[in-house]
Amino acid sequence: MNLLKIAFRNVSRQKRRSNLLAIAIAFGVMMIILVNSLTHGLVQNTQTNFESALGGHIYISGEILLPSGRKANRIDNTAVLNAVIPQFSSFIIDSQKRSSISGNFIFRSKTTSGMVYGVHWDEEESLLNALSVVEGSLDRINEADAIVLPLEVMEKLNLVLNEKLLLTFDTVTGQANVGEFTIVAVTKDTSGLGFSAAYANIDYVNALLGLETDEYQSYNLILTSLSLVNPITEQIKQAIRAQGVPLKPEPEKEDVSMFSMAIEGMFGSVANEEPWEGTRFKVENLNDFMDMVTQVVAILDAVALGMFLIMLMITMVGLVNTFRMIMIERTQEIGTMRSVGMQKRDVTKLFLLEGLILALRGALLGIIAAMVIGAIIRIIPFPDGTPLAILLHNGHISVPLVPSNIIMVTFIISIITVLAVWSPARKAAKLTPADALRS
Amino acid sequence: MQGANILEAHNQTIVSLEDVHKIYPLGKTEVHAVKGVSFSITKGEFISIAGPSGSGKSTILNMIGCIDTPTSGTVTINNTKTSGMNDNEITRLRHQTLGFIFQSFNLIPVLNVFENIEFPLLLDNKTKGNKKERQEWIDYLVAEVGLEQWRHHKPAELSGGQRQRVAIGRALATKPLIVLADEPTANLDSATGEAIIELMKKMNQDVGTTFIFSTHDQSIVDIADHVIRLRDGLITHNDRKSQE
Ligand SMILES: Nc1ncnc2c1ncn2[C@@H]1O[C@H](COP(=O)(O)OP(=O)(O)OP(=O)(O)O)[C@@H](O)[C@H]1O
Ligand SMILES: [Mg+2]
Repeated sequence: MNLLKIAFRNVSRQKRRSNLLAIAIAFGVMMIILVNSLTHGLVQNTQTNFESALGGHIYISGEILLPSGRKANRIDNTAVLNAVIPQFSSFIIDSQKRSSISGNFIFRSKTTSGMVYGVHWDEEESLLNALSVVEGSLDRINEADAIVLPLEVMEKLNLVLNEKLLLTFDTVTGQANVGEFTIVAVTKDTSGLGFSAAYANIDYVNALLGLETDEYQSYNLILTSLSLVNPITEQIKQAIRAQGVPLKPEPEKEDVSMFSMAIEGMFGSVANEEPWEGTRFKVENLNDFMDMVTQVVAILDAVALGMFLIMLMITMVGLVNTFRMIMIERTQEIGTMRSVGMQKRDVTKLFLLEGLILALRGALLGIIAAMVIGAIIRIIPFPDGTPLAILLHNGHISVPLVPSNIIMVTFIISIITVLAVWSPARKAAKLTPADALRS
Repeated sequence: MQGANILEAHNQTIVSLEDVHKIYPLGKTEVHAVKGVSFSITKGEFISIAGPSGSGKSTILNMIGCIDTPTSGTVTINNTKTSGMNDNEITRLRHQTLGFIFQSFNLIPVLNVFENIEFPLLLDNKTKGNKKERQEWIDYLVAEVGLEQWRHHKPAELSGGQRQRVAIGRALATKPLIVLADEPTANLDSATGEAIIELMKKMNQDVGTTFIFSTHDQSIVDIADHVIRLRDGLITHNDRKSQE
């Protein structure tokens, strides 16, 4: 269409002015895309880091009430889960059964607290991939008392590979017990969660805890999609209830933190609760741990939105002023076009097209700039053990460019442009040809 | 038979003004620019509206060109009364029936010679027509106004005379019945000005378009075959040269 050709050429008439405006738009677009990509990457990385550290998306555990009034982490009613979990098999890619010991590692006169997961090594492919071994190897993990120990514990206790260390803990029935492990491998914490656990064979751990060989304390599920985590969690709870089995009452919202759970796990709080029969189940998921992250992300998103709005205002003012100027500069030209037979609506269209070309050019520039800067940010390496590790992916910030976000930003910019250019465009169209020509 | 047709065509009135007044508001007062003017123009004429500065030439041309409206009186173009038409209709009338040549050329700076001449044709899908035919017609006009070597040049790269040639080409692009030219030679030296008028005359004879131009240059007035002289918003002379 001819209008488009003229619009394109008109935009490059005042190169400096057009370029400045395009750069202003580009800057805003770049910032919003980058911030959005960063928060997106942050959420993604935190989720995957939690996922690999916690071994899944949904964690089902159970508690039984001992005659002593103590609670024990135990699922003595596996039939319930055997009935419930298969109902969701089409949403589950993988699952693991784990047991865990919280206790104190002891070596010579030194001691440090820690956590040991008992795992089925042959079913823990993603864990094997996630572990970052710095010493020893995972070849010997199937030895009965083998333990894979985090570097921090090694350093605190001055341990050496292949040494034996002791772990003191309480069994599920509350008896004090001591276990002995052989260190076969040392890992460093890549998740940044700061509570890197040790891993051992589930059979050995179960034996120490006083559980049967085929028992487990938690059933971890990995789903086909993260978006399913909340709905499937709810459905599993319902399905468990449908089996006529109780669920652990939901704690107060603010109480949901890893720390309170860890403390509860260690000391077995018996805060005035109704007694119950058999196993009561607890179904938790990744998102319970993501609260803090989602709060930070919400703040970042709000800041980004604020920036975007300010940028939109600036752009809008810039566009309105520019097009007022353009209208005045081109009054005679508009008069000529109208005389020659251009309809009012085409004059408006021409102005709108010019505005859109300018805005889209700016947006394109901004998208390219965001890609370039995103690529640079991705290159920046972070040292091992950085407190930011939970936000990183293999020691790097993730900057995934989200197409829907880019399309959205471009769309909003286009709308704003049309709004800003509308009034000068209408004014230009309304000029009577004779008056316009006289100017 | 042929002769009768031509004669009939020549007697066809294509513009007529009846008791046309134009009053411009000017601050708190008014300027009575045209004070009751009536005349008619026959199809195919080459007509000059002459008069001193401020006599109302531009005002009358603007009203014939439908870019301004009379305060009272009627303007009839090609048997259509222009009063009571809305902007869309008036614009379409200008587009289909009228061509414009301006004193200061008024070309579109971002378009080259060919594109400037083609411009009016692209404003309406109906007149756009077949691309190849359009191309040939514009090529013909470019050649007629003698700018073949300049077809890709932008207006800024042309001399005043060349620009006015482009304007003539553009005015003829939609094959209008009437071309209006308000002092087309005022920004040109006299030799170039005369050449421009000669070109208009040639197009008038070749294409049969009615040309109405205003001027206060006597040597140019003489080329016209119908001269309307104005003074203070009134007609003082209305002379048709004999066709023979
Ligand atoms: N927009 C306007 N507002 C007020 N007065 C106007 C306007 N346009 C023209 N006039 C007045 O109307 C009268 C006729 O003007 P017009 O432009 O038609 O004269 P002209 O014959 O074309 O003169 P010139 O040879 O100088 O172009 C003049 O007195 C002029 O001052
Ligand atoms: Mg004039």
